[in-house]
Amino acid sequence: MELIGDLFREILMRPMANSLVLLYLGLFNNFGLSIIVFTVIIRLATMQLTLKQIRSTRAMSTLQPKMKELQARYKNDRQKLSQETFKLYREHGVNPIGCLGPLVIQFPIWIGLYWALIRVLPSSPENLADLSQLLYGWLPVVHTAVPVDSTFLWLDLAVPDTLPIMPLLVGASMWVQQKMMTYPSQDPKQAQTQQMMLWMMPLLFVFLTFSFPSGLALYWLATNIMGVAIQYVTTGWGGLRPSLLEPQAAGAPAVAAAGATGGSQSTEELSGDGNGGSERQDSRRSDRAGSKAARRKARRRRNRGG
Amino acid sequence: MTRGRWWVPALLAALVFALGACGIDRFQARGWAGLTVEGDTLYATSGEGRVFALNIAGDAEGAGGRPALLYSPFPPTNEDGLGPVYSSPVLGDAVAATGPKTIYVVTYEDPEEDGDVNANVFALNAETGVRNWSTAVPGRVVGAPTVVGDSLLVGTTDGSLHAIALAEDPAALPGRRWQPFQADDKIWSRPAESNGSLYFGTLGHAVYAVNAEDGAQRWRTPLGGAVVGSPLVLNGTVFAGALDRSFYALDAANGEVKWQFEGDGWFWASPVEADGVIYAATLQGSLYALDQQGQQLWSIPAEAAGAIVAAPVVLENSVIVATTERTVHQFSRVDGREEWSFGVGEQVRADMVNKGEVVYLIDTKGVVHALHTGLRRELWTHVTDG
Repeated sequence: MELIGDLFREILMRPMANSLVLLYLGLFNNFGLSIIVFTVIIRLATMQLTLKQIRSTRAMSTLQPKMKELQARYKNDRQKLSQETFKLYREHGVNPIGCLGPLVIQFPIWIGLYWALIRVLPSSPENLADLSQLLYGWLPVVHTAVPVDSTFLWLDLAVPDTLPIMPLLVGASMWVQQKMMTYPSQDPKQAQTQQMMLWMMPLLFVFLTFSFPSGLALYWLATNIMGVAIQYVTTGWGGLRPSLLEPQAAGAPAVAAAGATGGSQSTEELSGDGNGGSERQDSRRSDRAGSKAARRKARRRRNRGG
Repeated sequence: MTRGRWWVPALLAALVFALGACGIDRFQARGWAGLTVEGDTLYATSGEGRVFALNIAGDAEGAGGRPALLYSPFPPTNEDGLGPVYSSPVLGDAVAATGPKTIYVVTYEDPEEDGDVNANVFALNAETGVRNWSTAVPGRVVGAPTVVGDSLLVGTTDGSLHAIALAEDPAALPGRRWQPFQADDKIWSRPAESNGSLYFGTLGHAVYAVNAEDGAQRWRTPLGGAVVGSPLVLNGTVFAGALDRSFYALDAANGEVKWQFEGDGWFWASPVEADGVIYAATLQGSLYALDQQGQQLWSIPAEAAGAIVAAPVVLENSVIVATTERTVHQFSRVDGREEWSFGVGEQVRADMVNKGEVVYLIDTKGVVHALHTGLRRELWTHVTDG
């Protein structure tokens, strides 16, 4: 256990803490900017994983109608159902846990960043004293930066935001990200669970933001905004579009994504799907609109040569 | 999202919540308090902010009996403590020079930010432990206060140096000696007084000299790193360690840097002096013996100890350091050779004190240890908190 702790510290936490302090020095001694830029770098560095996760999740969701067919066909034969399901996955080259792998890989990065932030922000004399063990001895310049100035805009990044602004921003940005990753579900039970998750994560983070240093809240806000941007570029507005543009569809079941910090769901459906009521058609129309927007955006980018 | 994958965000939520539970504790101030010795009395402030007075008569002979409490702790154990304390209690003579001495205790609580807190500077009767008065200064107080004549100097995390005017009647509420001096950043360093000047460092990478009479700035010298410990003033030179891993010597008259010594880690603990030799310790665990020209006489290597937060104690022939590795080390003053080490079971961050060969320290769990360095054994322990 101690070895894992040491590895975690040396491979993730120390490099992150030192990078944050270096960025702080390079960004006019502004730790808020340092957190934002670092978050952008981390999100860009893990972009491949995020895209892989989105693609994998999308592939899974496009197989859903066929899965439903199989479930209906073999509802009394569980062994046959699992065989056919496995076959379906194999035929379409889908790894059922493929969307989780990248998420699992990104976990340590987020946890490392979390701890690095807590350690770099000097919220008490104990924290500052302990920081000395985290900064590299061979990098003298980082020692000249401590203690980092924890003020940013109206915030003291080392303590929770006394105004409810950051909690609201974190909660709202997380809800938007979650909502974008949603797609309609025909299963009422599943839709209910999904609806619960859509609200649970943002509310949880609102609660955490009230009790955590606002430096972490700034990281959550930045990573949510990045997540929204990545989601928009890859799949358009997704589940957010029906609520915004088609109020009549807003009551349609929505879904929480595979996780607040990275999971993603495609809104695309298989074009050959034979199952569909009017509700489904509505949502499919809106999904197509979202996909069209994404395609238009991609075309514009190509035309610009970007 | 396929059926059943709802557990992924649920797991995420649980993880985040678990992280949160660990994290909240991580960034809370816990305090590490300290000790002061006067005659046969050891004054201790526990981490949760309770003041104790212990009778230590007989320790010098190595009697080893458990110390008796001279009076009930302040505040009483059935009441909340004063909150986290990061400095030793300070003894001051009665202004009238006839009454009992006063113990001054400062706490980390900010009366403006922490609800229910209406004071962070306390004055107690040293003979009875009864509160004479208490007052609030804006900001949090980390460094111990300094008594200069009839003034109590307190630096705060607001970057202010307050001069509290002590009244002749020890129970009378104090006034203000001069308008608070505003430094560029947080003051964690205890002001050191010499020849009418107060010297202290700030987390804003500077050392200040301020006139003790009126609070006027005499000079300010920017350094490469934050200054946490109290400067040492000796023969017209101000010695201060900084977090840029450098130890500085400044001209006390004008603040000019005389020399700079490069260490292997942050110089956090206040430096101490004996027979013209300066002892400075780092959070990397090294102890340096320097002469007043900045020449290293000897050093103990970092691997000999953990981080040294507490100021070393210099005895007749040896120097004592306590570490966050739960060990106390005794080194020869001649060459830094280790003579003895003793495990105290917990981290030690608070400054130690000594009476003769007996060294007293309080660990981060609030346990006071009495170590007889001549007999090389622990005489007793006393649990303050809990």
